[in-house]
Amino acid sequence: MTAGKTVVAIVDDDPRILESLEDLLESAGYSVRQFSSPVALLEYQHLPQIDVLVSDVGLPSFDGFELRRRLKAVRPELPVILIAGRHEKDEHPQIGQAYQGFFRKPFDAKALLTAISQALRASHGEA
Amino acid sequence: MWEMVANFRSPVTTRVLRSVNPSLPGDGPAAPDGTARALPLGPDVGADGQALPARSAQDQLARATQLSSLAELSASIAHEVNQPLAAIVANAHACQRWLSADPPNIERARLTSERIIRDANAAAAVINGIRALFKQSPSARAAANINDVIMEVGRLMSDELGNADVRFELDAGLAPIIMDRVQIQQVLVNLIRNAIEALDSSPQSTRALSIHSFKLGNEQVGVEVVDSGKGLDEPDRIFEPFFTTKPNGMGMGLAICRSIIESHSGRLWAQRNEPMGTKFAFTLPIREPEKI
Repeated sequence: MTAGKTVVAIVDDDPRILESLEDLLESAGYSVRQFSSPVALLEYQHLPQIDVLVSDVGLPSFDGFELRRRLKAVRPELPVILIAGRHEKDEHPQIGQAYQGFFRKPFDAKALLTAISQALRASHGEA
Repeated sequence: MWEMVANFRSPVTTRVLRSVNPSLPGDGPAAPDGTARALPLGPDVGADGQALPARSAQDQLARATQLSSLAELSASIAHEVNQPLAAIVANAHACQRWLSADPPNIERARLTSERIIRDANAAAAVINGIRALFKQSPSARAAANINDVIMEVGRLMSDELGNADVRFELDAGLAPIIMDRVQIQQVLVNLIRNAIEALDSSPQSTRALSIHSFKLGNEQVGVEVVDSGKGLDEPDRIFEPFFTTKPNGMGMGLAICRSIIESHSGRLWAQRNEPMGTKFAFTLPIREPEKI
């Protein structure tokens, strides 16, 4: 955590999405770290300080599902919320149904903020 | 190398045409009249450069391809519009929150509203691009000489061309073509602008841009825009809507160009140029085939 603020990492290769998510999350009082690729997030030296991740699904190198899988090894408790821009949900139907933290662009901003706070509550509750 | 540069007075002969195009694949025999040789134009053009009758199997294949492309196109359009829409929704929500804060954060709200306008314009630009992609305006067609259109575009782009070494190698013996002049200008502007951009990263000493026009048999005219840039990694994909190699490109330009040329019953393709760069070529029929 940074100065007591909850840190949200966002991963998207579209700078417009990064910018708007940062704005949305900062307006809700979160501290935000932006990453334009999943590799950049995995190499981030302060990865342990991140409280929740919001990631695009269609990304360069590997997709959001793979990022979530790789993060399990280093941050198994980190809540991950995925946002799909194309038909990724159709390719991973089991995740689309069973996984609550899944959104499709354009997403409901209020619902996203609610999902983030719920994910944080759940992860703190488990800790 | 051709001797004539931007000179329409003497017709360019077939012999000269061959000498500047040694790298084109599908280098077939000359047409019976000895005036042209075959280019790789696809299935509806024979080895002698003459158009073949349409075949129903080919038509069906073309239709199936179009349907599959339509599905892909729809997915691409949805993605391209959804990206700015998602940003707009998130920004608009953030803007409301900045205004509702106590005290309101007017500066953040202003910045956010500017982004909303920018992204909404980006979404509108995608829609405009799609409109242009499907726009057909046969009513605007009239006979014109492709060389005149090329030189008009050259004049229009003189500022952009700047000090670039551009060679216009135009066959003066070309028949007029029934065309939408503005649309064909758009295609040429787009191809030449791409070529200029392709040269940006090349050393000054190797920068070359040339525009050729030539006759293909008795029924078609060809145009090539050749640059000596770094070349394309995926020359087949660059005509897909929203496929772009430019950091800020939308990927609509070449898709629209191809749509325009095909609406004129012509073909547009790209290939690597030897020893370097890219060659864009399109053909237009001198007599438009009968509409089915």
